[in-house]
Amino acid sequence: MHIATRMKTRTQGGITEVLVLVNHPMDTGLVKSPITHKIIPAHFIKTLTIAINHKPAVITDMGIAVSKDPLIAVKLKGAKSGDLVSVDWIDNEGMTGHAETHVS
Amino acid sequence: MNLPRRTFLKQAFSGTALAVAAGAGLLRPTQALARTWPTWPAQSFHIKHWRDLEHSLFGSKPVVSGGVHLHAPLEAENGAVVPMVISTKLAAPKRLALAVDHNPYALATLVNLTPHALGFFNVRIKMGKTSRVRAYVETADRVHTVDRLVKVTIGGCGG
Repeated sequence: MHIATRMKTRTQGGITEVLVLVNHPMDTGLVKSPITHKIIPAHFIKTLTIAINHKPAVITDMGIAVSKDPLIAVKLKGAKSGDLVSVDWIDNEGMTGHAETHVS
Repeated sequence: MNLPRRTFLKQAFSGTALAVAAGAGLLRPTQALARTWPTWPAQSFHIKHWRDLEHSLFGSKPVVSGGVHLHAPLEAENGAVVPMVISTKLAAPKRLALAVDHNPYALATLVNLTPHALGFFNVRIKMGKTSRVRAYVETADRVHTVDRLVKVTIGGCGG
């Protein structure tokens, strides 16, 4: 299974807003499949880290209550044009994802 | 053992390919970062009641009302996707947390901030039913909190 990770930044007045979208199922492990009547196993992102020039800026721990296809926004300060903003996540099955972009 | 030449070449080649892949993999930032990621606080994410959660996350730090803003809808038509925005103007926020009283487990997300980040976090969460949602901002010496009641028309547990 491939899970797409996308990221966008927008800088205004010295503040960089970072938008992250991951196409992740975020299954809670509490829901039964309407077809098989079996519990759908939990599959969710545990930790998502947003870094600037490889230094972590925001480390988010998530539970099963975060919606499917998480859309996260954070704000960074002091980012300069050309700085590398990256996002990395890991889920409860050990799958990981990565995306990066440069501050415009 | 004398391997047939063809087999030997095949094995040698696949071995090299694997070694190259592993070498490249190790240099990828994902895995480099994964090693330094703090461990996911499993215990906090399994707490059912928000009061126990407060105690577990913040210990004896005083919890005060205000200083943090939670932007949440008054009424959510679809509990599977309820947008939440936590923001604060407090100096040097260390952690943000978002908890839902009537979800199976109270804690939805816990955000660790560094000095590079502002006290702002936007996320969409699931809500099983109408509930109070609590936002927390932890600073060096205290915890600021605010709560909002969000009415849910269709629960989000069916995801």
